[in-house]
Amino acid sequence: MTTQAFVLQLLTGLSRAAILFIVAAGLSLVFGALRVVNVAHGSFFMVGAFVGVTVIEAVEGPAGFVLAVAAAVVVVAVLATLVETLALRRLYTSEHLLQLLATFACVLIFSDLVQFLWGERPRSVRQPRLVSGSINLGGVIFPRYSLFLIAVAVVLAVALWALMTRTRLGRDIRAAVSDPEMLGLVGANVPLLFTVVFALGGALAAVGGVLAAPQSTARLGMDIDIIIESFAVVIIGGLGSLVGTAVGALLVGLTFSFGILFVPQAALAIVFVVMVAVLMWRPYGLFGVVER
Amino acid sequence: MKRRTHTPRPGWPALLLVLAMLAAACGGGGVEGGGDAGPTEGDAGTAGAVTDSPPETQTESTSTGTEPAGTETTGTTTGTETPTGSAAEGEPIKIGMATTLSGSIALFGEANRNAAELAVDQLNEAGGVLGRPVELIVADDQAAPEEGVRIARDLIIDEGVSMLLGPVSSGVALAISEVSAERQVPFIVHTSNTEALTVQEFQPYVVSVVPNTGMEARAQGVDLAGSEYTRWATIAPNYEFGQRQTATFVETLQAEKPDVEIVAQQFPELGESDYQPFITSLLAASPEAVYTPLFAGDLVTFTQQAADLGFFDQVYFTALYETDALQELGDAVDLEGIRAYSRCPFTIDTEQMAAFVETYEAAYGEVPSDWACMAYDAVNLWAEVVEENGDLDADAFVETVEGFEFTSLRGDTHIREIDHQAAVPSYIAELTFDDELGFYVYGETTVVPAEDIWLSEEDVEAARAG
Repeated sequence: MTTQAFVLQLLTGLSRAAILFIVAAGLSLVFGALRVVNVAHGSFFMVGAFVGVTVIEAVEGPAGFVLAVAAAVVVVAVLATLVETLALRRLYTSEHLLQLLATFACVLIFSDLVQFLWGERPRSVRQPRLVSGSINLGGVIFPRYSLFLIAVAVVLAVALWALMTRTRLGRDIRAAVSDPEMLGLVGANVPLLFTVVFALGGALAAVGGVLAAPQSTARLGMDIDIIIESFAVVIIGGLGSLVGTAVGALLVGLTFSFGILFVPQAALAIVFVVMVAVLMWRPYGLFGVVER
Repeated sequence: MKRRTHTPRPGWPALLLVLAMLAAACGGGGVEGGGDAGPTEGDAGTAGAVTDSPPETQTESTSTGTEPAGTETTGTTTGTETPTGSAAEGEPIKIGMATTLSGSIALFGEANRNAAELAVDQLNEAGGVLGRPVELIVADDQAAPEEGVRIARDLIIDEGVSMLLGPVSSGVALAISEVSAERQVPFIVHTSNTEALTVQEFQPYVVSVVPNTGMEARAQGVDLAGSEYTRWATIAPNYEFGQRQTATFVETLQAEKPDVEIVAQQFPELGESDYQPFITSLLAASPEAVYTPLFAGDLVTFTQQAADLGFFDQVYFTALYETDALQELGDAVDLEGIRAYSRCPFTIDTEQMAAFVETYEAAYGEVPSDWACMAYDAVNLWAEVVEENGDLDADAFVETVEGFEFTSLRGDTHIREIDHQAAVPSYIAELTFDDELGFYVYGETTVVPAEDIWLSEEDVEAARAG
């Protein structure tokens, strides 16, 4: 195997990990604070992608792309707020199965909604000109957009870390992760905090959706595809852990990209073998904490 | 709001349950994109399981006189509404189409429906069939075999259709074919094309006007054996169709050209959104040429990502670029010189095709896709056979259709007796950009005749026996 081939495989693995990290971070954040496994997270990803595509089609140039991200974040944050206040809020004290069923119902509702609003046709949009085409990295031809995705994921990771460690909101979220009841007793508005966290998680999925659309397409079914891989990421990394999500995304992305190079038929299986191995070794994931 | 501090553990069993539900949703095909539906899916395994429900139950549940859900009547003529200037009179003859109108492959189903509506309108304008108006009833099979069975039965029992058309997915086609045999109603397939329909699972009421999977893959193999390339790689969607199509292609190519070496094979999941690691893996094996049966949205995504990785500069490429995919790609990627194959491109040079393209464009504002052209042929084949017979008898239909010669959009063809497969060719061409249309179309086209690529009668018999 040549160095070029190795670098190329490494980069494709990283860019795969980038989208996975952005989406799974939201999933993990929501679980950490709310202890809700949100199956509809993939739906937020899909809605974000379709909203993004619509805006990019309407507004030319880099401004359109930035606007697309903003619009997707706002739309999905509103949807997530509705889901949290109307449905999930009533179910926090119920068993987890009910929460799962509620979010699964949302998957079906959003899927039909997207089909109703945007139709059947997959939508593809051009990548923003600044980051389109490819770049020659010492003999390795690689898409600029994929490098852009990797950069965005790193920036978002740092931003999330800062949010969690440097802000009041982050402090409250961390407090909610360890003991929401105590947080309520000391005067924090826990229901509002939960709504904000759920909306923030949804917004991350939406950003992932907008970023993914120019690389592939916005299409029906992308909700299910992403949620399955995202679950693998957070289960490996540990639900609720930001560092774990980053490590999980890297593991899944790189295992996949090198897996198909060496054992093409079994790449996806290898990802899940890694998942099972991690679970056997650490049942709460690499960086997960034991259930409170 | 209070939360229990000691919430039960989330528990992986519950998560697994939800993942199982997601998987079930995938299988339904209605809710999501990938699923197991494809225009060429050859999933024979799904057929048997869904036709077990006894027909009596079905009759009971549907004999209440309610319209089957999701069914829409699209015929332009009813008893009261006879088209102007038409000689068609009397009870309309009903024909039914089961195709996919929801989910990610609904695009194909819409083209099927549009073209069949157009064909029926034209028949009615010309005086109907047997002097009676034709009414087309279209129902959504949701790309699910069990749904296909249900609507096929509803169409036959409640609506009394004389013929069935459709569907997109081969899994659905195999299931409907069983209903067609059981109810003795002719069933013409025009989009789904697993070879099993006319070979292993053949039943006398089925007719195919689409080149089947075997014919397609062999056409490719025969065509490309003439090229100078010996180091080949393949990439195919990871399910029965993709694997079988690839195997047939490789077999044919190596039989024609023994020094061909397969240096890499990739099988991404159907509906994969990120082909980059697959593409780079192929390139790592430095093939000279790459073959793929990826189609539709998957092929579009693959093409865009491959272009940015410099793939097309490094290898010779061949794929099923049908009209929808080419329209979607527009001028985004330089496809000049790529060797594409297709089932029924609108650029086929016949008088009939030219007239159809013009009418279709006028009606729907776009050129007809392959899926439209072949559905149009299916309706007209049925009408011609019925006119020839002078009645709607199903067994007479079967008798007449065997060896029947007719003029399709693809030119003169006939239906082979042994497998009811139309002698339709495969079209292979280098792509060239059309400035007027704004997308790539088929340049100088190689027409590989059916006789060169379909199974010989002996092979058909052997396959059925084995």
